[in-house]
Amino acid sequence: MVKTYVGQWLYTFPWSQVVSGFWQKFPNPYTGHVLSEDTYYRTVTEDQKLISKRLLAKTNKLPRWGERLFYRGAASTIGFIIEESVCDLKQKIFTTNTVNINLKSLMTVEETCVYRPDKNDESRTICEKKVVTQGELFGFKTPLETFAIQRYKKNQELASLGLEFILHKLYLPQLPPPPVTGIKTPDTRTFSRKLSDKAKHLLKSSNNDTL
Amino acid sequence: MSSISPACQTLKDEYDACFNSWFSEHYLKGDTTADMCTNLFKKYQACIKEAIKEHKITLWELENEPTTKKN
Repeated sequence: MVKTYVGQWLYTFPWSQVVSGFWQKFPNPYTGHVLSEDTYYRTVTEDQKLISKRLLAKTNKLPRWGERLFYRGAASTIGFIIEESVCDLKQKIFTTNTVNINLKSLMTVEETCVYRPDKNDESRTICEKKVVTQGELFGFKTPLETFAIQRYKKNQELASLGLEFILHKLYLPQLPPPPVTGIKTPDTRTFSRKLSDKAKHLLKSSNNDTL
Repeated sequence: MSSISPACQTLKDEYDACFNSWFSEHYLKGDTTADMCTNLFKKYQACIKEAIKEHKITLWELENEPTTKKN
């Protein structure tokens, strides 16, 4: 079973600027939970597509009992995410796909975003997002998925606001920056409230949370 | 933005600056030849490879470096 969420965001910047800004979106006031960003692979294909892969590290707060169960070095409390993207210059389609590569024994969250010029107004860009969550912990899959979707809904807004903030900074520096309003703190809660002793035992006896 | 390893920070900053410039001034204008930042990227990538090992992450793109890699 999986849960899916679909959403859209409209940027009041042309596609070329949105993609340029995408590479420079960290750091920004909305994404303090992103610890690092590194490009580890990049190539241009023969049909002018730019393929990039980035590794992101984000805070992933664990409850204290989780730290005891999961602690195997620093990676246990840091969420690692791979972001793969394809920039199709000819079609003006920029597609990104992000997925967590650790903590998969709990759940997998995979997000796909497609950025295209707004058909009605090329000075704007539409981003269509889809996220698919899959819970892995036996007996808790559905609540985990629901939890992940709800957390994603809050955090994807922050991510979009963050990119907008950077776009303003890059391309409208003469204007005051947009006010940092709304949700300021990303949702970094972990699914800990409902875990019973049985679940804790299952987590403990599960394989190493290797990447 | 911080790199996963402080040791790679300077290399990252240099590469990112080169890439951002190449992306907006060359790639988006249709000049997709990508040699401008190759050397910087190779150095940066080599540093990252070491840093990632410390975190026990395996990324096949780093294990099997392709012969042609640009920017």
